[in-house]
Amino acid sequence: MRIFAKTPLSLLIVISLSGCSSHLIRVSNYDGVGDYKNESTSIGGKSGASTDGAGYIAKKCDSADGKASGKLSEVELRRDFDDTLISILTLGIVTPATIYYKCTKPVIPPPCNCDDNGEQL
Amino acid sequence: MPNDDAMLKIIPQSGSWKNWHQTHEGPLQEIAEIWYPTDMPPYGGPTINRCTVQIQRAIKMAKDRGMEARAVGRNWSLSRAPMTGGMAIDTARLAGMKPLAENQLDPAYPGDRHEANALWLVQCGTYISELNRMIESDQYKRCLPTSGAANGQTIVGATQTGTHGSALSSGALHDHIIALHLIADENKQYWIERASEPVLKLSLPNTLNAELIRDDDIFNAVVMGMGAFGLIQNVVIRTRPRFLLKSYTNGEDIPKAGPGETQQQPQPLFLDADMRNLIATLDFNAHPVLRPPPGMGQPYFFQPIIDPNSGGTLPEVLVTQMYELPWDSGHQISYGLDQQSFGPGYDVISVIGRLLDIFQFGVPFFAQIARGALFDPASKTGTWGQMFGYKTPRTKVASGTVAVPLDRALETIDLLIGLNRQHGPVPLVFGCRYVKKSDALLAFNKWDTGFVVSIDGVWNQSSLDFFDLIPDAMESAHIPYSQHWGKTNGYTPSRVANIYGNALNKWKAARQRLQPDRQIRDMFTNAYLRERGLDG
Repeated sequence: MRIFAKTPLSLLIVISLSGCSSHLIRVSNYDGVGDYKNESTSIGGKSGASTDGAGYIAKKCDSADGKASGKLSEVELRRDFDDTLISILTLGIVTPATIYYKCTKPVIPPPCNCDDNGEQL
Repeated sequence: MPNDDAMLKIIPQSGSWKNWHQTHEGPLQEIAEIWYPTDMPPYGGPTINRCTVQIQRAIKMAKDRGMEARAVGRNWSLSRAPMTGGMAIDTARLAGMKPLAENQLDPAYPGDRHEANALWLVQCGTYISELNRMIESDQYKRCLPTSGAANGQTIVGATQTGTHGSALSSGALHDHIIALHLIADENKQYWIERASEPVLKLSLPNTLNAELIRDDDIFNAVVMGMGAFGLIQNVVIRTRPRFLLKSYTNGEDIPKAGPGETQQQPQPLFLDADMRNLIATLDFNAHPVLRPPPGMGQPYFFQPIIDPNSGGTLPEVLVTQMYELPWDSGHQISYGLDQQSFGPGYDVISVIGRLLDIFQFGVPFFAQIARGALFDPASKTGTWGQMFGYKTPRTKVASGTVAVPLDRALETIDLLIGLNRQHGPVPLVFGCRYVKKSDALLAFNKWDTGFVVSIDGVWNQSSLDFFDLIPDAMESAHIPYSQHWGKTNGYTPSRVANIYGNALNKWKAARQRLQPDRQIRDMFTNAYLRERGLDG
């Protein structure tokens, strides 16, 4: 390990091998909305502490009146090359990542047997 | 009734805005989310009216602020067609749908008015996946006649930019829309049908307070309007009875009727004389491996994918054939993704692309990896919605298209292979598809049988350079062509004018009729349209 730690090449190899990872969780029919926004939040996980990214994101899935959604359909945590480099340079004290997410669509009522004025037939 | 003002949610934007495939990004001032009424009423005239009010509020806000505005569904396009620097009116939550009843149809409707659940009124934000799940259910027993390879687009987003499949007897998805509800500005809305194909009685347009227009040219302009005509809130789409598709890859497992013949083993196929004949003529019986199963005619779906960087003297071809089977009452429909715990990461295609710009000699090897990541060769049986279902999101997928009449298919393939040989290798493959002619004025499927080469692969500079070469090469070879509006294309004002001729004039005339106010037309014109001469 000491040999590797002393060589810039080994550092590059370590970063390359451990960078650009992603961890994805989603529902099977992932008809999420808000995809194009691709909002993300950088988190800085520290030893012995955690960031509440999930709670932060879940709130973003609420509608204006809080009735329509509030659920996630997909969450992906990504770490790119820069994130990994920061982790190594800070000896793992700071472990940044980016969370991508999508919210479920509001559940629309099933087709009704109605006339054009919405009256039940 | 709750306060409907909450159905419109304005979200100021500060960062850059990307499309689903993350191939394009740009600044955006605001997103105007339009929500389905939160008391969740059934979808129909009154609900549509409540949504219309909020859409028109958003349009007025954009107009008062002098902002560009554009409807956005899932931002799926691989071109810059959905992008705007002003207000994106997000309609993805408007996902109502319902079958039309026989007593709602105009007496002059030329289709089969007794066919149950054939016509569906669908709201703009409905994803193709949602529509598939609804209409293919045991309750309705219908399906789409065609769609794109994936199911993530909204119904209006997909049809406004020309999404197509490779169903040999079908046009593109927009060719199955037969009526639409257009919100052209903050106080004007239309219900539009073809004069040659009236669809609905007046009651729904009257309920919507929408002006009824029955005019072939107007309809054929708006149905593929690329968002320039305003917001299409609802469409009527024609479906067909559901059926099953059985797919075969490279002829593997196709039963044979000849003496001593059994099911075939998998074997590589190449762009040899037999394959060239098949691609150019669609004569499946003449091909030694890809003959239809006993008792069947030509496949419902056919797609040969040519890998120009593989094989020896002849490129390798990966062939998918799908045959129509009658519905099996025991078939269980499942749309979920296959569970996969380990595989290529979100950015693998992008990383490969950057590497291949530097190490071009690696293209043939890595193109194989990209091919495997982009195309599923597994044979299976399922509904239309199952076969063209969820795709794992991937970033930076390059995709462009060139379409030609079928009798110019082989010249086009040879031209593309020659370009790859001369300027490549590029990490792209050529997926060959077939689409029947459209009546839509700016449809890229403009020939009786259109041969469409979908050029897909790794997004990097060499791929983009390759896309740039195609229009000039097609014009030098005097091959009539068009390109997919929703993918990377080389359209310029002069090219669009040359390709579409008088149809372009009719398209612009329709815009001026429906949006007589120049400010409104400018508001719904983004950079993508201006760069292609579709403004004014």
